[in-house]
Amino acid sequence: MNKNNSDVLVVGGGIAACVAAAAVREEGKKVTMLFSNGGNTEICGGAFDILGVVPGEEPEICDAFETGIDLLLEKYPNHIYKKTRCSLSEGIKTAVRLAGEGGYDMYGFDGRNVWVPNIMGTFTVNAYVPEALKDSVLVPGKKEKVLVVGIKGNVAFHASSAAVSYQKYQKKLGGKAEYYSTEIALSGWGDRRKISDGELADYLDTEQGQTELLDAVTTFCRNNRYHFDKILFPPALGYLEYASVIQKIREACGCAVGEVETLGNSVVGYRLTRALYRGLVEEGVDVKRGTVVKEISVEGDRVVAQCLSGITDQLHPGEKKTYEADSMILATGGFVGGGIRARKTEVWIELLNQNLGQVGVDLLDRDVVNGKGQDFIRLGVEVDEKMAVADEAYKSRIYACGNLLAGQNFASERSGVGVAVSSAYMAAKSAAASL
Amino acid sequence: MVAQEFTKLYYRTANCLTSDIIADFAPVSRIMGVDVSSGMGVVFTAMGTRFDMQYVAKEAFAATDNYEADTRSIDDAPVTEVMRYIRSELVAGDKVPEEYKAFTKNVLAGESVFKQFSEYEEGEKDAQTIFLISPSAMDPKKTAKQFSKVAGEAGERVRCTNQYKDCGYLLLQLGQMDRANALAGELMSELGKYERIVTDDSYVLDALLVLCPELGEKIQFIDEFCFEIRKYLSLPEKNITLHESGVVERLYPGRKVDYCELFPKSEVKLPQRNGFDVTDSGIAGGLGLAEPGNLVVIAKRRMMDLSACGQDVIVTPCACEALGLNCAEGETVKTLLEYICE
Repeated sequence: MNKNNSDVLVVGGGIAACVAAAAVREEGKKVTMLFSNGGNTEICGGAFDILGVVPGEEPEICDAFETGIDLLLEKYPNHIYKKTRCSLSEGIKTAVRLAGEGGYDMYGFDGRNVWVPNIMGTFTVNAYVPEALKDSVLVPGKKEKVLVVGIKGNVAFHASSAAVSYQKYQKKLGGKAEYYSTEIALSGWGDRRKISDGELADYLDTEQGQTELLDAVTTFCRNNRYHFDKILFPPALGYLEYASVIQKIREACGCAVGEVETLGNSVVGYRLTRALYRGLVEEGVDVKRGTVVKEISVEGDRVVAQCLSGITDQLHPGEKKTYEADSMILATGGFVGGGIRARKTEVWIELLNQNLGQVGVDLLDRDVVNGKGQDFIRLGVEVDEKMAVADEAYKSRIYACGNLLAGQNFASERSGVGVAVSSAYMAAKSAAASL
Repeated sequence: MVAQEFTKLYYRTANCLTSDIIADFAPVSRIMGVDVSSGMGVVFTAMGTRFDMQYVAKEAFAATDNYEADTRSIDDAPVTEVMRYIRSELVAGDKVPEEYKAFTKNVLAGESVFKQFSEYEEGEKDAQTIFLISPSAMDPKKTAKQFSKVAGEAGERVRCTNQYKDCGYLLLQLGQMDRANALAGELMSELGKYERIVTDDSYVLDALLVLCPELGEKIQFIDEFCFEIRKYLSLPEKNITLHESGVVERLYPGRKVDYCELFPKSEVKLPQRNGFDVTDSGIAGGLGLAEPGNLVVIAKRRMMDLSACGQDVIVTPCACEALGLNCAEGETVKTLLEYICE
């Protein structure tokens, strides 16, 4: 049997797992990261949210995330932030550092939350944004002319509807911009009527695509009666070359340029996850992508993970591998990331084989977007003060973090990354200290 | 014994229903766009219309197995597996569209889909090592000579042949499990007697590992073999852009070779999209020839990334991938074997 030894195993490939792995590595420990894909982070909006809204009958929007957390803990005293808040700032620093090392710079706003226009025609609250969203941030009270550009065939983003919606919605946030829209045609995909974000991004990674886009936008701006202060594009300006595309348009049009925030597409998730993985490799983490952990156990004083390496299907059973370590951090995600799954009508934490019960009417509200949020999302694994899984069978050798944790509602709170990185950092330091 | 079961497949596929946002991860939408439906939409339509597979035949043949990593879907959407199932149902129901009939007929008749294919064999029957030449080789004799030279440096006695063609790779892609299993028996008895089985075709490698898992330890991809005997080889020192094998990267990561160690005096560059995310040439072991238009578009796109690295030479270990990439006009891609024998 093929055994591989580390000090700590991190299971998962999203932002919580990345921060956990980097934070263990900071302590000089050998860490191996096992994951099949980037989970929820693979389809994220690319920005970091920490706490945007305190859910309730009348949800309260938070201008600053720290004061927001105070308010949240008053209302929900058992929220997971009660345990992890002390690690928030270090967790965020680690995430920003890793992303930066991988070429994905993040920008904060001195603890303030900002609002970024999204593909739905509304605004999304964030605490840190990447280069592609930096110029897109809504500046309350600023009078500016904003051009929203759609690409013909890219049906995921409808520029004219979005512009109309931004115009109305911004008032709630103190925005005073004037929004205009246009749709430009690119020829890179022949006579097809529709293209996906992925295909558009792939085309704009080529010189031909960039030249065509630049020509179309500059021609439109040159022939327009207004000078625009800002131009917004769909979140598909390239998997790789987006920063250079944005910079070229900034220079050519002499204005701010950014993307609108996606609610989840392959392009933005790709940029962030690959940057994080590059950062991890740089820091000496053993990154085992394409490895699915099938079973975990504690044997004596070691944690053992039985894995399958490689993509598996009915023809490819995968290569069996066993990894061992002194401790393990589970960052396998929640309902979206795959750490929590339904088995018929019951909800289970897969790797811990823990039954969380049924999602009944008590946990489900018919009003999907009600202000309090759906209670079932708060289901997850219970942990102690050090983030160790509260189950004696695991002898405090298995820690958990991120969306797998109970007592949070990342969707209604807009707290996903904040909870992920703070709990991951704390779990990592506890795991390293236990060695 | 290989098999495919609808029930296992269906319930895994059903998991994908949880999110539509994964649409553009699927190779179908990357290849065809979303004119017909979203990528995942196509998958569901296919599975839902289990008895009317002809409506998604185009998708099934256009979604070549190894283009992009379809499992980038967080729900582990088995797109390639679904498409394989659809192809098998099309064949079983005699509903293969006219445009793919000649291709399918060739595969089912045991013919190679590569027009240039001609059977070739050289070397001793009782050799230690058998080298399975890619059926895509333009000049199998030349390839055999190159391998014999390389293996000879390490004192290996070899037999080189392409008589097993793709070792059932395309039969598997058409979901012809019974035929593939029959072929597996033949391969086991004929190849099992060799100490080592080497191939320069990643699709042949895949078929062998699927059909003859018992021979797994004897089977080597060409770069594993070269890596093992590297101390006997005098290797060229040009700076290399490497087009990795997507099959190895995604399905058999344990077989990956460290090219920096194989070529310590060369600078080895990878295009930015590499590793698990490697974009293949589109030839997909011959399946890409069913939709040659797609093949050329995909190959051109990949060549653009490879050429952008600006190295002295572009090398790939897989002869079939080299053929696919060379469908795009531009720089010539060399196989690892060709490069080593320069």
